[in-house]
Amino acid sequence: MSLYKETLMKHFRDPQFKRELTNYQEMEDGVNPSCGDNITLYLNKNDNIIEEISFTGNGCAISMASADILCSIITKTTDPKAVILEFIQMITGGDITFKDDLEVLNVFKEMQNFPARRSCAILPWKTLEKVLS
Amino acid sequence: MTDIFPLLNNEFIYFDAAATNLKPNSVIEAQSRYYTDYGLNIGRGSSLLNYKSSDIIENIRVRTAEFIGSTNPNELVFTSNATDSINIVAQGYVKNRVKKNSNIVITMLEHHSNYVPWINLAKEMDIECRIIPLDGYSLDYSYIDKYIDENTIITSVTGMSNITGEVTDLTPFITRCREKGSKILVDAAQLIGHKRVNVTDLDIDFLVFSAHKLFGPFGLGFLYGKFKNLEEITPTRFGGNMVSYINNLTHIHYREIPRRLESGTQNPGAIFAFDAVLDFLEIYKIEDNEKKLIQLSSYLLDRLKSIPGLIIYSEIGSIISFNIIGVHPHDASDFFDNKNIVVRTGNLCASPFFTNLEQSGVVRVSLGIYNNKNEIDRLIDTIIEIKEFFL
Repeated sequence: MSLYKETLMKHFRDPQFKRELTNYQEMEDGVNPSCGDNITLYLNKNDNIIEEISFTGNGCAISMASADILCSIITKTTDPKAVILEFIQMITGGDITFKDDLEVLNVFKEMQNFPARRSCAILPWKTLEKVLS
Repeated sequence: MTDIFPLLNNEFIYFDAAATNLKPNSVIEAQSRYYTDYGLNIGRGSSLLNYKSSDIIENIRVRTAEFIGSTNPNELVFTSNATDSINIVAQGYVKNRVKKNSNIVITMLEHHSNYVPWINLAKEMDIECRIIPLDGYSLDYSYIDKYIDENTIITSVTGMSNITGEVTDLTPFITRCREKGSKILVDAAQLIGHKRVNVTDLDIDFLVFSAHKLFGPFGLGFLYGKFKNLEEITPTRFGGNMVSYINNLTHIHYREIPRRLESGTQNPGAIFAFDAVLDFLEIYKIEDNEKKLIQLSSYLLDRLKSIPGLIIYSEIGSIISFNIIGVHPHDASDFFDNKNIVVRTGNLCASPFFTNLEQSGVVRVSLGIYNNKNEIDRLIDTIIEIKEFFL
């Protein structure tokens, strides 16, 4: 299955950020009503720059891998809102290719061919968007 | 079967009859024929064509009432779907009967259509909505006597679970309702395609179903009610066609039942197509279809049980839900989709069942008369492939 690339499965099987932060400033829940997938983000931020982030939750491989990958790259960005926007644009068909530190996000480009699963990949990103809005 | 069900020409395997049954050519053509040959609105206009259109639709009302065992066609209301029908009963009938200690009884097997209207009404009126729990994955019938009491206004129960395929034993519910004075509503949305229901023999107060789960068109539902019950319903939607006349500009005289509950323009094309459904069911009888489905589901269940690491939520029946331990249903869904196999995954619009089990969803295989063993073998091969990939 082309969607389940090795990188994605690695993040699903062996997530590095799936835990509750011991000290966090903010927490946000996200739920995907169609499948019951749920996620909680824990984070510390300075203005809109995310300094530390983790997640817990239950869901499919796509949503859990997406959450782990989000956590792995988002602290390295100076404009997380812009990354969220670009990620969602890419998932929904936009011609966006990520470079350098965000390159791993390209693994989700395949989602364009799986419209039924877009909401799974987007769930953690929408949850983060709520925190930053 | 591709001759009968044109959608099968797309060469997919359709295991989602519980969501909607495929439509036979005869039904699709009938819907089109209405617009070609009749086409006018019903219950309005004085032309001969208006008259003919209305007459045809009223004859289908008669035939549909007979189909569910009612001899009075005025006991059948055309609605837009089963959910619409339940809302009419909840807001137009039950709401008017609420007293201080009233309660409503439903079950943990309900899909959202027969859950949300009651929970909403209970909150709105500040009364109790009692939910008959499960024993394992089946209804726990021992709660019937405990939950249905003299303060129960209505007991609203599914005739067949869209998750497990369990067919509800309605008799103990109806017996208890008669003892305690509760009305009984049967949500036959799922049942209607699997078992003949006779509202008179069973002494059912309200029965609801949709056309689309019975090989019929979307956008058409039915509300059966004993005539006296329907007469006691206050309309919940107001407008054209339901009114006989208005005098003094404010005094509205409503039409007789069932038209009083059919405000606005109806869906005559869909009703006309439902006549073709009834023709179809004279050839492909529900009882015969179900026998075939039970045989097929027995084969499916045997093959599923041969695969280790599955949780199966259903006993024998044409709806089988399961989980592959360690694989999210939506991840499994991609693999089925990749093989052109249409199954349903997720919470099946029945989240109370899953909340109760602390599960987020299932893979559901619901069989239709167009399925065969070869298709089941392909399903099983895919399950094995999914397990090999994920586990």
